Amino acid sequence: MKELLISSLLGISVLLFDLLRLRRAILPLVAAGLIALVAVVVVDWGTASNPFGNNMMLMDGYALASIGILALLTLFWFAITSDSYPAQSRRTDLYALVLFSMTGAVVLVSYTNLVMMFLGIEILSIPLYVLVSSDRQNPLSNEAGFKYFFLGAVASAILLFGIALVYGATGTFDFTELGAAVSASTSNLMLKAGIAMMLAGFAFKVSAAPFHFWTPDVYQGSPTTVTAYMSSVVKAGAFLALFRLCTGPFSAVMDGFTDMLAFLAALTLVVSNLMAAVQTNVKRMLAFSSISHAGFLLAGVMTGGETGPGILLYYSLTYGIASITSFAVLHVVSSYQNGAMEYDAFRGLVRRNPFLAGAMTIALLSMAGIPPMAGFMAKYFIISGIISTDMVWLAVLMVLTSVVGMYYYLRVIIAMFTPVENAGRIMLRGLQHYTYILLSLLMIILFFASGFFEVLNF
Amino acid sequence: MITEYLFWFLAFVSVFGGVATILSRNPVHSVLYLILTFFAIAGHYLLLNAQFLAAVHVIVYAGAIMVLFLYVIMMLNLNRLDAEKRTLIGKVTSAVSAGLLLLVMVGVARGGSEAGEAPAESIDAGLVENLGQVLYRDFLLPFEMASVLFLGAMVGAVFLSKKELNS
Repeated sequence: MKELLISSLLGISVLLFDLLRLRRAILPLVAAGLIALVAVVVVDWGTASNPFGNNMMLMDGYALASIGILALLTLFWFAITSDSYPAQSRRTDLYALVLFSMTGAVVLVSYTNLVMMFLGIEILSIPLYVLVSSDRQNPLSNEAGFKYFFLGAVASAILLFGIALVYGATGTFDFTELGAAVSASTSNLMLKAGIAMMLAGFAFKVSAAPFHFWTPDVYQGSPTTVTAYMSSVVKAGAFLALFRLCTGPFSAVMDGFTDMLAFLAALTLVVSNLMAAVQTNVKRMLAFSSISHAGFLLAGVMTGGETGPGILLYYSLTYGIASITSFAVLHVVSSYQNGAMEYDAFRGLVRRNPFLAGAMTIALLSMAGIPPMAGFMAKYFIISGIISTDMVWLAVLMVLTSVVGMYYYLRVIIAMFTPVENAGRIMLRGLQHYTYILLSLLMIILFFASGFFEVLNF
Repeated sequence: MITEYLFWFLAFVSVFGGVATILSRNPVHSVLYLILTFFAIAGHYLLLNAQFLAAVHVIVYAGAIMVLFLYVIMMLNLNRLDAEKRTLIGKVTSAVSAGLLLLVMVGVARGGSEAGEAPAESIDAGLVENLGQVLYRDFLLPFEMASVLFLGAMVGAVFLSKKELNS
């Protein structure tokens, strides 16, 4: 309850602060609020939690850990993009929208009722449609907003249709009753069709192939800072919600959907990596790379079991940090090159700003899964989890597609270390250096702290 | 018995209206067919003892939203939709994806059993009083969270339509 109150009140107070002409205090307020959210999670950790709102939500260990990770990722996002928006009222609206969207993610990781789940998806999505088209002078951003809005509405409709069919089959939205009704009638036609449609709706929201067609255009068209938010907090929230659904009320029938999820994951991995390899635009390449990580996370959802939640949380956190860092670097670099985002824009970055080059190198190596970075452990956990569920072919496919991934990540790194003549330096303002250093260190520290997540037990 | 006939009649009307909405060349006809569909769905609500919902459905959808649709069509002068060129590849792609969706649904449905009989609802389940009890007692938290959703949507609408301050 406290977590939900803090996150939704934070968005409203940002709007109030703007109204009271306290614009300078908004960033400190947001930072304090997000830190308070993490603190509440730490204080509540391990205490027995009761469902609230008439069994609508439950702040169990999984929900608390997820909220902690979402709050941390949002905090990092604010720290790293704080200088990207000029201090004016537009910025306040953007911040409020981001915080509302995060509230949706908080609902999505702690719901115990399908009504709450759908509300969470919508609270997460609707501010995003606006954020994506927030660069109003740019036709690409408008196009991205329109595409995302219309396709997102169709996906929500399919999800809602699925929820309606599940309700028709079981007569309840509540997780406990739903779990009992599902295990009592595992072969019910209406129930299975409903779950399939819900999975399709989620596959769109998490951009798994073949529901991924919106992702490259939307990620490329939206302002780079918004892309950073979408690929970290939004992606993590949607996957954590899907995991809560699959391991919660639907766990009794999930065996029947393993093939479907495995097919989605395999297709996602192959399509995204092959498409990413042929891109010339780094932002588009990172968008396809984000789809390929959705393939890994989908496999993580299938793993389930005792260690499943810890693995999924670990992957969400490490990928979130790496993608926030890489999109933030891309934003800074392209803003010094008249918006150019080709591989060439990164040439000689190590001379122009060693901090940016170092952070980008670590982030890309983490996404590629090279040992001293946290991304390696994340991929290792998921692959070993998949092997233990006897799907060796999927594990082999993951390793093979990771090799393809290595190619396009290394292209950026090679470009950064290619010397160029008389390139101007890139200056960073304020606390940004420290943020980049902190995030780079985290990506290495998390590698050694991975054992903590593996034994995380709920 | 009569309710069953009524159900099949309303089902036919709503599906017919839905199909005619997307097949009509003239947007105004589309809107009129959509209104027909909404009325048929309101009839379904009545059959399900949801009287209040039926009334609200007619007022909000068939009334307010459809009037808005008609206004937009008239203001943009869309009353003749030019037959847009559909390429062969577009047709093939849409047919293939719709077929794939059917394939997935058939695959899921394979070997499943039919749903059982739905429990009968009491006759006054859809009255305002009972609906209010459900909305403000059982589903109070979703009701309150919806306000966050609407606030977000409102801020977004203002944000997108506001003038640039420094241009």
